Formats: sequence, structure tokens, C-alpha cells
Amino acid sequence: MKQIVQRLLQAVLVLFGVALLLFIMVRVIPGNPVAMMMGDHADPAAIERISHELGLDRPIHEQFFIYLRNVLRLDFGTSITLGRPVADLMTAAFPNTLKLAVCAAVFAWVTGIFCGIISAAYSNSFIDHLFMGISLLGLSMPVFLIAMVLQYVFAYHLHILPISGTDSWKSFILPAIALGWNCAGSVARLMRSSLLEVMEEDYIDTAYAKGRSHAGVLIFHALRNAFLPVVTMMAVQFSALISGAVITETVFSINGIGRLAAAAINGRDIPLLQGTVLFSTLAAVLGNLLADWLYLLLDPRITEAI
Amino acid sequence: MKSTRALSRANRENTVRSVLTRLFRENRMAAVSFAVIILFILAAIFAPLLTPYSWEEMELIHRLNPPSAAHLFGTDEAGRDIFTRMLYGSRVSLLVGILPSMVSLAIGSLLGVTAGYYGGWLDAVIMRLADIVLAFPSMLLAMVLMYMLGGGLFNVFLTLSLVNWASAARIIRAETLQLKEREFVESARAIGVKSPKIIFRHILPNCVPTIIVLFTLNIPDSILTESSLSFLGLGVQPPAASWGLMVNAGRQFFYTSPWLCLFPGMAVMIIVLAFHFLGDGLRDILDPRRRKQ
Amino acid sequence: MADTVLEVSHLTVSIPMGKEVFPAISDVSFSVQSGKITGLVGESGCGKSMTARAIMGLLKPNCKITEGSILFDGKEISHASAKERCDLSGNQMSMIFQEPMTSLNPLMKVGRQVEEALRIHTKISAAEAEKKTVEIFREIGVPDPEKRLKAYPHELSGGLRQRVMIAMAMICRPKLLIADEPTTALDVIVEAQILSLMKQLCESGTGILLISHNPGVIAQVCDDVSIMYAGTIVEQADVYELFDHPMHPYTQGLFNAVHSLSEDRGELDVIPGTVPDITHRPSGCGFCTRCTQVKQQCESSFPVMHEPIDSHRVRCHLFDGKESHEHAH
Repeated sequence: MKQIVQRLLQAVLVLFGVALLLFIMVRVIPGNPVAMMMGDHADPAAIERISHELGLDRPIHEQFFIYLRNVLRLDFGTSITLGRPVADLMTAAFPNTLKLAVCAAVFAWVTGIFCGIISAAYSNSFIDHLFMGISLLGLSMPVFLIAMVLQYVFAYHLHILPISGTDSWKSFILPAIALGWNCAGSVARLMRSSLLEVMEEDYIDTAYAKGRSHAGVLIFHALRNAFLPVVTMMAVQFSALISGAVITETVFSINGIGRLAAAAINGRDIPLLQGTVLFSTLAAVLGNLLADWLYLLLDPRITEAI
Repeated sequence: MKSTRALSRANRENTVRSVLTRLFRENRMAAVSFAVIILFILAAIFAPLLTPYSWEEMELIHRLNPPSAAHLFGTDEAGRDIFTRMLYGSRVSLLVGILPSMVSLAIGSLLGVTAGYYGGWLDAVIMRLADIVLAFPSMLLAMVLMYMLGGGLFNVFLTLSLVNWASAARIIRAETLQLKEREFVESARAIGVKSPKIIFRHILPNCVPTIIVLFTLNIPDSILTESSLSFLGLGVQPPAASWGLMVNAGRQFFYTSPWLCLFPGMAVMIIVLAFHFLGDGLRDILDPRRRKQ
Repeated sequence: MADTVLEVSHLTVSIPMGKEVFPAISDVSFSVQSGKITGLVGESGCGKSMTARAIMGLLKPNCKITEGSILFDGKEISHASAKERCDLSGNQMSMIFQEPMTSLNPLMKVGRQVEEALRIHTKISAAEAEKKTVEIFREIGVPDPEKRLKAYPHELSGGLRQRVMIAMAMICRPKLLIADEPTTALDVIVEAQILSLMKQLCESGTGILLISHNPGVIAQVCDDVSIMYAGTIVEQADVYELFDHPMHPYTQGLFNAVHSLSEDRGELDVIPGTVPDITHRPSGCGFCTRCTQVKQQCESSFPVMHEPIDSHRVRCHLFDGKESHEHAH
């Protein structure tokens, strides 16, 4: 319990740092961002007016605290390019990103863990080599390439699944696979090596000596121990999934947070950029906390140690 | 002092030669990967000698030609030879993999060693900064940095250097904390060797195996991030050739002329795999914790 | 005369090293009687643990039993199926391992781990199983058993963990208990406690095979002793006979190395040389390179087991032709 509170506090501090760093990064560019956004022929009076509206004429630290106060009230400002409140835009986009990320995570972890276990149980067999080969593809293929190939084969060529959009649950299948494949590959490889390592442990012999069958040893003793490093990896993967979502959403034309972020950069839209990046980071940090908490549940030793 | 140094040196028994021999003998995948990487590097250096075409000259009559004897990987929407552009693109992709990894490892190692060795508030500041950087999803941090710096090759280098140092700093710090307790560091300290000298003579050299492994594994990450940035149009700017950019440019012709995207995409894949295997192989040899098996 | 629970005869286990196959243990024969403790002594690497693993069916997949038989309660088990093994292990025969630190599953409460064997082999309710676990904890001297049930292994001391291991092995009241160096990782006082516990357990009828590298441990509790060297048994007798009249030069050297401290602190009696590596064992007697009384045939021919005195067997060329009369067959 104490550690959970400690982790939460840590997370809040980190998020504050993230907000600050982000603020500095987007404001540090020389020149007035409004002028840059509006192009060379903009009316200077208009630039000044918008700058004033955005509070850009105040001292920088004041700007930051105003920004922070607004963020805490869930007010992320108004998008310059789209003319709507950033909070509204993100509320509309978030469910899509959440669906995509959850589908991708479920796909990645279920298939990754399953393939890893099978590979370990039949290590050095044909199926092991096959699974490990596929996982390597996932590790090395850029997300955009996986996405495009899946689109080409299943949507364009075979017409099985929708090519883009968010109309039905079917629309999320290809993006989730494209986004999750990479994670699935690393989970499968780690699960395999971790399980093989655990099977060498002394307590596995103890379990056999008690009369557990091969499957019994695997299920009741090996798996939970082998999960520990995989859970640690999952924490990192939340963040990777959110990174990958930017690309996946772009390829599959999904109206999500990642695509908003990409649009914000192309349009030099500061409020939208700050909002989406902050929100994505919040999601990554929460995912991380979740994985930490799962680890605490699984490993009684940590609960004592810290 | 002499024995201290000898101890410190005895602790790092790996010479480049012995590592490479063991790599080739024990890990065939890593050896093959090493050869592939060398091949890519050679191709990047001698690109002009390997192709009769220019990487930027457009020949619109030959646009979107499928792979043939004349154009090994076909031509793109402007009639440029894809193989040629990939050769030149490999310069970008390899540089983008290697240079920023060097810089970020240098930053990460220095900060990590400082944090671990001196401890106290310096440690706290550096590590909290690393926590913050690591909290960002890396792609989004890179995007913000690219926004801040603007596109172009140099800024891609800078961005990738600034994104990847934090995890290296964490690992090197942990390693430093361990090395600090070792006898050769303690004895050097006992006879009054100054701290910077201990760091550069005893601690950093003993971190070299870890640094090499981190460096090798960082390269594929950098290459993938660059290709993703370029794919989004935020990285290297046209008409320069980079594999990610080529995929981005070919996207709209993907259904009719898939070779525009497939070949550069596969090049990314192969080089990433090669560095991955090499890094894994090196880790098996260099990391004492993994060596016992 | 007590029943024989375990009869190992002419057991040979082979292990592939590189392209060749080497016998890790060869021609090992001994038996364990119910209610008695049989000791198996030898240096590390001599094949003691391999023997124990072969009996329990825990050999690594590349190791194969190539010759000999293992009779448990009159049944041949050297090539038992996985199913038969599951029925036997933990139920009728069980094993305690050397490292109580690593032999317990770190993520499982010790109570659950002890119950596990019961739950596998008998149809018993959870409450009943817990009651039995408390009982056995009390029996083997785990203080505050109700609380200890809910502890994780890392919360217990080494001695307590080894008691948990023993409880785990004993909960189904097996006919045979194999203890592989059960006290090596423990300090001397805990060692004495564990050994007296083993003695107490065997009085209830369990046959125990106690494996140790320490002749002192064996001398304290065993009834019969086999001395193992380089993968084979070199001498075998009951404990008093063996310690009073060691015959094999290796046994003599082993005992001298232990006893020398009490007699003369000036110089330690050490057997010169080291145990030959499994790939470099001589074709003759495994001890010939270190033996002080080596003869010519020692290097070329593998000695057979002799029985110069009743029930005292020795595998050494020094005793060629010196069989006791009753056993000359």
C-alpha cells in the first residue's frame, strides 16, 4: 500500500516535470509562433491580437502557471488550426485511441505469451523456430510497413476487412495487429527465454519430486515466475504502443490522439500539440503504474523489500 | 597505484580481437549480421560506383516502372531508380543510426557515471530528468523536438541524440554504483586518486562492454524512429533520400506499385535485424551476468 | 529384518559430452531398508546427486539410464512412464534438495507448497490439508505453525526453509526419502537439529537415503554406508565396520583428511591430486592416479566388487582373491 502511494506521488511529480519540459520545448523556438503559423503575409495587428488572446505577451513563468492551472481544470486551450477547444477534440479522439491501444495490447500480450509458452515447451522444434521467426519480423519491421502490408493483403486484395476508418469493430482488427505485432514479438521472445530459464530452477525439480506432471509444473510453478520479467516489459510497452499509435492512426485514417498530434505539428498548432502530447504521456505513465501494480501483486518479495 | 591499475585492467579482459573471435565462433547469427552491416556500410560509401543512375535526376518517361533488369527495384513516381535512391538513402539511415547513438551514449554515460559516482543532489537532478524524458512516449518526444528544431537531417540527428540518452544514463548509473564498491576503485580512492581520474581511468573503462552493447542496440531504435519520423514527413526532407521518406512518398502508389515502399521498408527491416542480432550476440559475450550460461 | 524399500543394482547412467557418450555413474548397487538410514558419501562430482536424480526420475533429458535396475518396493522403476512417476513421487518416495534457498517456489506461500503433494495424491479438502500441514509443521518443530503456513520462503531462515522442505517431502508419509546434502547449506547447529529430525523420521518407518560429502554427517546418523568415487561405489559396509576398518585406499584417505585435525594439527592429511574429470576417467580404477598403493593392473582393468568380510564390500585390486568363504560364488 505504502509503495503504491509512493509510486503515485512519483508519477505526479514526473507529470509535472513533463508539463514543464514540454512547455519549455514548444515555447523556446525563436520568433512568435503565431506569426510562423499565419505565414509571411499576415496582418501584424491580427498576430498581436491572437498572441494576446493566447497570453503569449506575458512573462514566460506566468504563462506556465496559467497553463498548468488551466490543464488541472481540464482546459487545454483552443486549437489554432481547428478552432475548437483542444479538450473537445481529444474527447472525440480518445475513445478511438483507447480502443486501438487496448486491442493492440490484448492482441500483443495474448499472442506473445501464448507463442512464447508454446515455443519454450517445444523448444528447438519446428513450431518454436516458426514462432520465433515471426516474432523477429515483428521486432524489425517498421510499424508503417506492417500496417501497409496488412492493408494491402487483407483489405485491398482479399476484401476481408475494412481498409480504414472506425466504423465497426472490424475496422480495428488490422490496426490493432499492425500496432501490436512489434510488442507481441518482444513478449514472445522474452516469455520463451524467461520460461526456459525458470525451468532450470531448483524449485522446478522440487515440484516434479512432489509428483506434479509436466503440465502441472508449468502451470502451477513455472509460469508465474516466468511472467515477472514479462510484466516489467509490459510497463515499457504501454509507452511504445502510444508511440506506434501515431503511425498506425495515420496509415489507417483513424481519428485518434496520435493523429491529432501529427496534425498539430504539421499545422504548428501549439495548444493542440501540448494537449495531445501531455495526454499521451499521462496515458503512458498510467499504463506504467498499472504494470507496476501488477508486478506487486505477482511478487511478494518486492512488497517487502521497498 | 600500479597494482590498482592492473586490477582495474584485469577486470576488463575483453579485447576487441577476442570479442570478435568469440562472436564469430559462438554465434553464427551475430557473425552473419556483422557481415551484413559491413556490406551495407560499404554500399553506402561506394554508392556512386554501384549504380549508373543519379539519385535525384527525374526521368518521367520511366515513372513507376516495375523491377526489371535495367531497374533492379523498379522506378518511383518521378522515374528515379529505386535501387540508386536506396543506396544513397542507406547513407542517411546508417548515419542516423550510428551518429545519434554515439552522441546519446556519450551523454548518457557521462550523466550516468556522474550521477552514480557523486550521488546526492546531482544524482537526484540527473535521474529525475531522465525519469521525465523516459515518461514521454519516445515517438511523441521526437515529434515535439522535430517541431521545435524544424526538419532536416541535422535536426534528426539532434533529436535522436536527445531522445535516447536517458535509458543509457539509468543503466550506466546502476553499473557505476556496483563498480564503486569494487576493490580497485576503493583502493584507488584510499590512496588519494582524484575523483575525475577514478571516473575516467577506472569506472568508465569498465563500463565499456555495457556501453558497446547499449550502443549496438540503440542503433536499430534510432533507424526505426528516423524512418517513422520521415514517414510522417517530420524527418529528413525531400528530395533527400531516406528509406522512411521513400516509403512515405510511395504510399499513394502502394496498391498499384508496391515496390516503391516494399524495398526501402525491407531495407529498414534487414538493417534493424542485423544490428539487433549483433547487439544480442555482443551482450551474450560481454555481459558477465549473462555469461554464466 | 526390515523390508527393502529400494534396491539399486548395477545402475549406469550415460551423459553425452560433445560427440561422445560418457558414463556419469557406472555399476552402482546399494539398497535402502525401511526404518534405516543409508548413507552415500563422496566428493562433489562423483555422481551422488546423479544417482539420486536417477532414482527420482529427475535426470536431465540428455542423461540416460543405460544399464541396471532400480527396484522400488519390488517394482522396477528405472524406465517408469511419466504417469507412474507422478503417482510415486511425493507420495511414496520423495526428495529433499541441497539448497533450501532456491528449492522453494519464491512466489508461493510455504503452506500451499507443503499441502501441494497431499492435494495431488489424495482427495482431500482444503481445510483438511491445512490441518495436516499444521500437524506436520508441529511434528518437525516449526515454531508457530499456523502463522508460518502463510509465510513466503524469503521470510524464513535457512533452517526453517529446510524444515519446510522436509515437511513437504514427508507429508504423504513416503516409504523412501532421498536427502541430497540436506545440511550442506546450513550452519552447524541447525545441521545437528536437521540430522536428529531425520533420525526421528526414519524411526517411524521411512527408509532414508542420505547423501553427503561429509563423512562426519554420515557417521552421526547412518546405519549403512556406501562410499562413492568417480561414478562408482568403491566401498560398502555398515557404519561401524566401515569407520573402524576402512579397506579402500580412498576411504582411508577420506577419513584421514577428516580426522587429522583432532590428532595432529601440524599437517593436514590430504589426498594428493583431484577427482578425474568425467571425460578423463582412467579405464582402470578411477582412483589409480591418486592412490598410494597403486599396482600395475589398477590402471588397465576396472576392479570388481569383493567381499573380504561378510557384508563389507570393496572395489579394489588389493583385495583380489580375498573373498569371505560364504560369499565366494
